[in-house]
Amino acid sequence: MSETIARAAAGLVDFEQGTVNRRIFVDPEIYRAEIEHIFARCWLYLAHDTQIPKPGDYVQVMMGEEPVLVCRDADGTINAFMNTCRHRGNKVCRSDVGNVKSFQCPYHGWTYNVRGDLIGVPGHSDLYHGELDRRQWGLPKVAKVDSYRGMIFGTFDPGAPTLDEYLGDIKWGLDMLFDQGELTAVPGVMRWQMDVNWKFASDNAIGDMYHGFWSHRSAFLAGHTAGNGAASNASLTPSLTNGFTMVTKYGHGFNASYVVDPGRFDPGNPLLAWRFDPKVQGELGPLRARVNRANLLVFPNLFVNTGSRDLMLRNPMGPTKIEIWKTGLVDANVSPEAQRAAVRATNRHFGPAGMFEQDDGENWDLSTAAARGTVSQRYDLNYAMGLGNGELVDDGQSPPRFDTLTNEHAQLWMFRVWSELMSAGSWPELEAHHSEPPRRF
Amino acid sequence: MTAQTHAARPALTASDMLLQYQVEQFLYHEAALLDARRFDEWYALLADDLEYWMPVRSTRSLADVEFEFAPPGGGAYFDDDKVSMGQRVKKLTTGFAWAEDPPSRTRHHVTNVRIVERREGELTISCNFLIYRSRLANEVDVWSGRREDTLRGSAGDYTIVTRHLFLDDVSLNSKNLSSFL
Repeated sequence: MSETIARAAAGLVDFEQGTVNRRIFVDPEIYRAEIEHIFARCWLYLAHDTQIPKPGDYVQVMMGEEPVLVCRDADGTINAFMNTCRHRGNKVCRSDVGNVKSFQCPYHGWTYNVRGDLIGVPGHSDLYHGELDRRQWGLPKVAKVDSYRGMIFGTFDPGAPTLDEYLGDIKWGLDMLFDQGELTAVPGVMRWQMDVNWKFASDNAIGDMYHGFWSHRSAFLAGHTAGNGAASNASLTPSLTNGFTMVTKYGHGFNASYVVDPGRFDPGNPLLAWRFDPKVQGELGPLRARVNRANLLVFPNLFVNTGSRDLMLRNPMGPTKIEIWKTGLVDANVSPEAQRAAVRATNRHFGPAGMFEQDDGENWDLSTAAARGTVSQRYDLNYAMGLGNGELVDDGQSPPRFDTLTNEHAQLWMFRVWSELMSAGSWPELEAHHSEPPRRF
Repeated sequence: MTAQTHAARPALTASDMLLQYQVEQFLYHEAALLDARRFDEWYALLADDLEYWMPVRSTRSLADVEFEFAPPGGGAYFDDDKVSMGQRVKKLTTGFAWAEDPPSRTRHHVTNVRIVERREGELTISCNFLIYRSRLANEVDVWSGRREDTLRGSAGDYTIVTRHLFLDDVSLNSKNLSSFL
């Protein structure tokens, strides 16, 4: 059933014309197919390594709609397994974060260790006559868990490529954030819900450099800037050429704007030390050293901002609902005062009350609502900005990129990968016909 | 941070009653300014050394429930001072503040007002808030929590020095939080 739906849904994206049918943002059956074909298949961001530093530390997170426990073992290994008891399915852990020796289900007391193995069953010897094989009844494991520069990812699909392969060239973009210092998660995940389809949030993350000057105009006009001293120097008109765009194999991508006036950076600002550190600048190379800030998407649903230094996961909660989980990052090597200043900046910037983000909530919510109409669904959405004018540059300075900042290449690419994932029944099937980003957009 | 929740019952003298009345009237006046969207007048009630802070919260086991609110320096929905609050007020009148233009309709309910600490020239107030927001055709948000304010001044003439907001939710069920609480 959902196989058929998934294949049909894939036809609702027209890559040649740059259009997307609105049904994909609201249809419950398409959503069910996405959960199966995308969220049960792709690598998903789980947590940051520094959120669980000690043995027994855990966080409860979501992988699509599935509650998952991410837990550090005595030997430092990170385990991830589903938070659902194998006896009656209840959650074995109801807290968001903590430290444990074991997880005990509140229903009948089945007990699991921090690797998810079943280690205790009340009445095992008499009620079960010693016949229950505890080895068969551990918590379902996330098939693969791996991390990149402190970001822990997991996939439910044992057939998925390695994390290294899955991330591919987007690592080059993510390094623009993680080269800035020894980044560590601040306490407290900010969570809020919106009546929004998850793809509108991803579409905004991967490449919408068009909306800032207009969606966030009131924040600019009020004098708000935010970030690690990388004050947003976006002017109030969008720029075609002041930056570049990248799209990578599995639907990831980003836009990066250039610093307009390097002279404005204060060398005494500890949050900007990386801009003046020859080693960091050497690792970044000339192109990335020019970048003011970048907005990246790790497909399907992780937004990364190199300026305000946050990881923002948008978890699907149904076709027209998401919950955003925002984790701020600070440099462990700067003073507590500098850390405090950085946290203040991101708190004021992104979040439901954020000077920027409160207006995003307003817009994505209404885009989603308007996609419900039988008649509105006859009118496709336009993703054609710059289409026919994008040419990949491959000059060795970076993985292939487009030398324009404001375009809709990355969004369109994301929907193309989305449609390929939806029409493929498995990773091998996807790999058999999956395309590399084309040379021209 | 929440130590003052269970302050001892005050002695109920006539001067306590007067102070209580003065504080309540100030808080009601402030709430009325917000509901009437008289933000410039509201802003004038904020002290220059304002700290306006609403930390995020997580579900914790009983054994470590004292850590449920993120500490200062952690995630916070509001983490503001007088200057950044000024930017928030200014934002509303730019003509491009989409989250508040058309404006939300709010109703601030302030209850359970207690004076939990008195110092020379300053009072610490604990109260509960319930804010109803109606937006556009049929969007409704309710924000409930406890507030701890430091007021500076005397005889009902106060400025707000700190406002710490402790929300009852761990996940805000609102597309945005574009109102002042």
